[in-house]
Amino acid sequence: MASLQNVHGASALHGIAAASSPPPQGSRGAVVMRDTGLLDKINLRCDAGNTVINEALSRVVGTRLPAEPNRFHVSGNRRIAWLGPDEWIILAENGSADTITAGLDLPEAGHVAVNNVSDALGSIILEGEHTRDALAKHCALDFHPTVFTPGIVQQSLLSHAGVTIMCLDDNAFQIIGRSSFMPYIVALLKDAMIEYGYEFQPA
Amino acid sequence: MKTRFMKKSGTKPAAMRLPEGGRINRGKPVQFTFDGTSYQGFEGDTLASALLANSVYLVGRSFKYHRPRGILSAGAEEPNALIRLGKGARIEPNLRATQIELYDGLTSESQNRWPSLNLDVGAINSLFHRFFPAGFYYKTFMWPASFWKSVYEPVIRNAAGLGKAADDHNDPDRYEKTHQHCDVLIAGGGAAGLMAALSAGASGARVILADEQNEFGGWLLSEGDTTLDGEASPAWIAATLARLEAMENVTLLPRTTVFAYMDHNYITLMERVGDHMAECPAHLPRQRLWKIRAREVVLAQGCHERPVVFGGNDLPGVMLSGAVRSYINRYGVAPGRRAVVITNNDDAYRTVFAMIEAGIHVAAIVDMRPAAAGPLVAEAMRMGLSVHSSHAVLAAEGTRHLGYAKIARYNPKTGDVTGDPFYIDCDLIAMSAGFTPLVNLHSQARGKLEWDEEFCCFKPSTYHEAAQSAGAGNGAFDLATAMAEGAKAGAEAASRIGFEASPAQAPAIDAPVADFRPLNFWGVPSDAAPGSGPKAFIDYQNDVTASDIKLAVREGYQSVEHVKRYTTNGMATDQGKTSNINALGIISGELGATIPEVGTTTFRLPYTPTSLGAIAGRDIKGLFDPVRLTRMDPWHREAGAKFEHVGQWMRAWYYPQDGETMEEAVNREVRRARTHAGILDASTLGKIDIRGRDAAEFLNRVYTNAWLKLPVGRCRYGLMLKDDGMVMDDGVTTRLGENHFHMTTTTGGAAGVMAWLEEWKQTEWPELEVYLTSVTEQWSVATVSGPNARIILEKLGCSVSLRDDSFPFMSCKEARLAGLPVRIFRISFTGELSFEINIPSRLGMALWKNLMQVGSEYGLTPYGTEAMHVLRAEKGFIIVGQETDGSVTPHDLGMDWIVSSKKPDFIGKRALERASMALKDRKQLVGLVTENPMDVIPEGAHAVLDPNQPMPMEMLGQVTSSYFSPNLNQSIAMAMLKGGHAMKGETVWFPMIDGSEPIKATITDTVFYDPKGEKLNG
Repeated sequence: MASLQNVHGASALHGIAAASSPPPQGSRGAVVMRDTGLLDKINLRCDAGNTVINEALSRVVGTRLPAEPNRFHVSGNRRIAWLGPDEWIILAENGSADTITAGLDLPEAGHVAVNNVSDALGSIILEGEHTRDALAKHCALDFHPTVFTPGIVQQSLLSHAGVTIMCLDDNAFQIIGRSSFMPYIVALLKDAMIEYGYEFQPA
Repeated sequence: MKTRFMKKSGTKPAAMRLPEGGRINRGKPVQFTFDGTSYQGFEGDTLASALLANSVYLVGRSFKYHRPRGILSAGAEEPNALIRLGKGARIEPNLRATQIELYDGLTSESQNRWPSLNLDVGAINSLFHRFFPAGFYYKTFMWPASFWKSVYEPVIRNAAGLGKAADDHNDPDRYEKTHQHCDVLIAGGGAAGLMAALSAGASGARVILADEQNEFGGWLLSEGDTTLDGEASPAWIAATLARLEAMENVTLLPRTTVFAYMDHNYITLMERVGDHMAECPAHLPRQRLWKIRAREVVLAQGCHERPVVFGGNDLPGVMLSGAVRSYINRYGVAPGRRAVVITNNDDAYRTVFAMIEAGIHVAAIVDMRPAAAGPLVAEAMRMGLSVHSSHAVLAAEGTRHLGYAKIARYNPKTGDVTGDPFYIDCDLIAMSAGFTPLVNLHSQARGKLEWDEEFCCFKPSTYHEAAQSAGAGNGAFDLATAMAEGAKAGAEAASRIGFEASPAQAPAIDAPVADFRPLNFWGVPSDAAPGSGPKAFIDYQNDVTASDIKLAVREGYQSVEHVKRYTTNGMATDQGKTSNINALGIISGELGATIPEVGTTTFRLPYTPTSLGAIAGRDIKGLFDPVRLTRMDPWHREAGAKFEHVGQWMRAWYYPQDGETMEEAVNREVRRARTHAGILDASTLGKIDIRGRDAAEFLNRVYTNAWLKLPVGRCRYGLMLKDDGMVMDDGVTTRLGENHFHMTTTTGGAAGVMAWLEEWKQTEWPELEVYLTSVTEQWSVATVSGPNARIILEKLGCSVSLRDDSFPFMSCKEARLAGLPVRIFRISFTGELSFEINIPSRLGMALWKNLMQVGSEYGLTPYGTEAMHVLRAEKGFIIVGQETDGSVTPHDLGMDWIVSSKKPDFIGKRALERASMALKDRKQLVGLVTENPMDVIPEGAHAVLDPNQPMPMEMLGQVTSSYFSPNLNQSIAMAMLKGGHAMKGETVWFPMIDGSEPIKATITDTVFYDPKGEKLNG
C-alpha cells in the first residue's frame, strides 16, 4: 500500500536550528559551521596493498588508498581517508554508496569488509580564522597550522565524543562523528565559538 | 631626613604612597573595599600594595592561635594575607592579597576572625598556646571515637580553618580549557625566562612563555638599583617583549601560572583571563586552563626569600626584605616609616638603600654574620648606618602592629645570646635568611635535588623529563649568571629538538655586587627559657613554631615526612613555600644531621591553589556528558513519553495517556503487546558487522554455543563470557552470508563488546581472517510484536512473505517495506510473534510514522523500556546487568543448554571447569510467585528462610527483577538464591526494610507466561 520511496530521509543533525553569535571585538571573524547534510560514507577494511581493491577504487572513486597514515586522498568531491593500518573511510555524495560498495564487492579481492555507514555518522564543516582555536578547546590534537595541514586526517576526542577530523583547507575542517553524538558536538562547538562569534547553518 | 610621604587628607591619596615611582598608573585611581571600608589604590597595584599604601597592616588572623597577621611577602609565597574576594556567588576564599590585581569596585574581606579583625575572640587560643603544641589534635581528641566526626571535627573545623566559600553555589563565571603543543615551554618570565625565550624564539621553535604576574620581568620589576644596557630594567623588558611579540612562533602568556607538571612533559597552566577586570566580557572565560604538551621545558621559576626565625616574627610589620623593596620600587609604597633590617646575607642591604631612597628611616641593620663585610656593607657603614654584626633580633613586639625590636649579640655557632639586649622602636622589620629556588615544578616532574652548601638551598640536579632549569630557580641568584643561564637553556632546549639555536646576547648589566650566600645557621637566638618567650614561627599559615618542630623531634619523629604530618608544617595552602628549608634546618640541628641527610618532603601539584571551575571547564550542565537520542526521539517526545537513561542514551520509558500513572501506562502497554501489537524503538542495541573467511570460527570462540553450522539467513541467540567464565553480554547474531554475520549486543554493552572483540582478534587470534565494524547507528530499529504484527507489516506493503513456512522464527530477510530497503529479523524478546525491522537510520522516523499510521487500525501501541522489561520477565528472559552482576555463570542462570560441551574452546570455558563453578550453594536464578498476588517484592530485597530468626539473618540471595504482570494478573519476580535450582516449590520470605510485614513467596520456574511458546507464531 503506502510507498515511501520518495522519502529522502534526514541527516544526523536534522532538527538543529540555525543559530549565530556575532563576533565580539578582537575576533578575526565568526566561524561558520555547517551541516554537510546527507553525505554517503563507506567504511573499508582491507590490506593497504590489496591491488584488486586499489584498482577498483581508482575506477569507482577515482583515487587509491592513502598508504601513509593520517592522510586522505581527494578525487573531485570524493575522499578516501586513512583511519588505521587496515581501515579507511570513503566520503562521497549522497546516493553514491550503493554503486561504490557494489564496485568493491569483488570475490577476487580476498579479505575485505565494505560497510555502508552513511547514516551511522554525521558530519559538519567549520570554516573561519578561529576554527583551529575553537577545536583546540576540546581536542588534545595539535592544531597548529604547520602541523595539522590540509590533507591530514586524525581521530581523537572532541571532549567526550569520538571524532574523525580532516583538514580541508588552512582554516577549514570537517568533523565526522557518530550520528547520535552530533547534537552534542554542535552544542559543544557553538559554546566554544562564542569567544569568536559563529554561524551555524543547517543543511 | 626629609619626609617624602604624602600628607594625609581624607582617605586619599593614601598615606604611605610614595610621591613618585613604581609601575602603578597614577592616572587611573581605583576604589576598593576591605572589611567594609573604602580605600583608593591605583591600576597596577595588588590588593596587598594598596592596603599597605593605606596603612592597613593587620589583614588576617592565623589558623590556630588567631594571631594578628600582616602582609609578609609580595608574591605567591604569601602565607598570611589570605582574602575572601568578591561578592555573592563570585566569592572566592583563601586568595593571596599579594597576587590579587586591583580593579575598580573590588570587594575583599579578611578571614578566620570573629567577630572582627581587631577584636578576635579566638585569639584567646594564643594564651593557651602551651596546650596546643605539635600533635595537639592527635593527643587530645583520641577518645571516644564516636566523637571524631560528630563533635571534634566540626568544632575544630569551625574554630581553625581558612576562608568560607560562597553561600551561593552557582558560580556564574565561565571557565574554559585549551590544548596546546609547543617545542619549548618556559615557566617564568623573569630575567632568565625572558633570555630563554629570546634564544629559543630566534631558532624558530614554537615557544610558550608563561608568567604568573600581570607583567613579565619578575624581580627586575622590583629592582631600582639595576640598569640593563644603560637603562632602567623596565626599558629592557619592554624592548625584549617587543622582540618576542614580533616572533610569530612565540606565545606570551602573562597572568598564567604553570601549576602542574605531569609525565611526558604534559603540563597545565592557569590563565587568569578576566580576574583583573571589574567585569569580564561575556564572551571570555574568567579563567582558562591550558593543557600543554611540550617537547622541551625550561624552568625559570625564580626563588623565594626565607624568613628569619625569631620570636614574634609573624607580627604585622615584619616582612621579607625583598618584598619591602618590591613595594617601594614596583608599587610606589612605603611599608613603614622606621625600619630594622635583619639579614644573614648581602641582599637585604639593597633593601636598605631602597628604603633610604624612599625616605624610610633605617634604625638598625642587624647582620647575623660574624664579620659582615663587602662593598654593600661598607657602603652602609659609609652612610653612617648602624650595622650590628653577630647580632640577632630576639623578638618583635607590639599588639596588632610592630612596635619595637629586641636585639642582642649572639654566637652564630651556638645561638647563645652573649650580650645585653637592646630595644629599637620600629614599625617595619625587613628580614632575609637567604633564598630558596622554586624547584616545585622540577620536583613534580620527578626531578632530583641536590643540596648547595654555599647557598644553603636545594637546587635541581638530575631530570626525569626533557627539561632544564635556569636562573635563581637553579641556584643562580646573581643577575648576570641567571641571564646567561637562561639564554643558554633556551638555546639548548631548542637545539636538542633539532633547531639551530645559540644563546641570545645578554644586556650589559650594572647592578650592585652582592654576596647572596647566607649564614649556615638554623638556630633561634633567644634569651628566654625553653618553652617560654614569644613564639618563633616557621610555618605561618599552619601556625607551626620552631618549638613545635623541636618537640616533634624530641618525641621521636626523625623522618621529615613524619615531622611534617605531626606538626602540619608545610601542609597549608602555601605548601610550605616559606617554611620548608627553615623547618629542615631546625630538624637537622635537633637530629645532629645535615640537611641533605634529613631530606626534603614531596612537592605536590598544584604550585598555587587552582579553582575547580577551571578544571571542570565546560563539562557542566548540558555539556557534562553527551545525551544520545535515536532518530525516532522527536516522535516519542511528541507522544508524551517519559524517558530513562540507558548509558548515554535516552530511551522512551513509557507513554502515559490521559493522566495515566506509570503503573497504569505500563500495564496497558504490556497487555496490548500481547492482545494486539506493540512497537518498541530498539535502535540503541549494539550492532557489529562481522566479515571474513573465519567469521563463523570467530563467533564460535566468543560465544558459548555452536556457530559453525548456522545456515545463511538464520539467527541464533548467544551468550558471551569474560575469560573468568562470567556472563558479559548477550544478543542475537544472524548469518547474512557464508562469511558475513550481523551481531547485536546490549545497549549498554555495545562499545565494550566491540573493544573486547577487537582485542581478542588482534592480540589472541591474529591468524583469524575477520573484520569487525560497528554499525550500531547505521540502523534504526522498530520492533513490532504481538498477534497483529504480521498483518501490520503486510498492510504496509512487504516485498517478502512473512508466513511461518517461508519466514520462520529466528530467521532474517532483506526486504522492501513500503518500498524502503529493510532487514527484517524474526526474533522475539516478548515471546510474541515479533519482527525487528532494521532500516538505514535516515529513514527511521519515516518508517516509524508509517507503522504507527497503518498499525492504529490493529491496536499497535508504542511501548517503552519498562513494558519491555515486564514482557521479557513474563517469559523469564534475563537482562545482562540486571540478573547478572559479573559473578554469574550460564549455569547459575539455568542456561546450561547454551554452553557447548563439544567445542574445543571458547572464552571462559576453562574457567567454567573450575570446581567452585559446580558448587551446589552458588547463587542460582529462580522465579518467585508471591503468596499474595498483589504483593510486588522490591528489587534488591533479600530472601530468608525464617523471617523470625535473630539478626543478623542468614540471607539466601536477592531479587533481581520484580513486576506486577498484568497478563497473569499477579506479581512475578526473579531472584538469585543460594542453591536456588534445588529449591523449586519451597517457601522463602522477604523482610521489608521499613519494618512492614515480610512478603512470602514460593520458588518457581522462571518462565511465567506461555511456557510452551505457542504465541511465537501469532
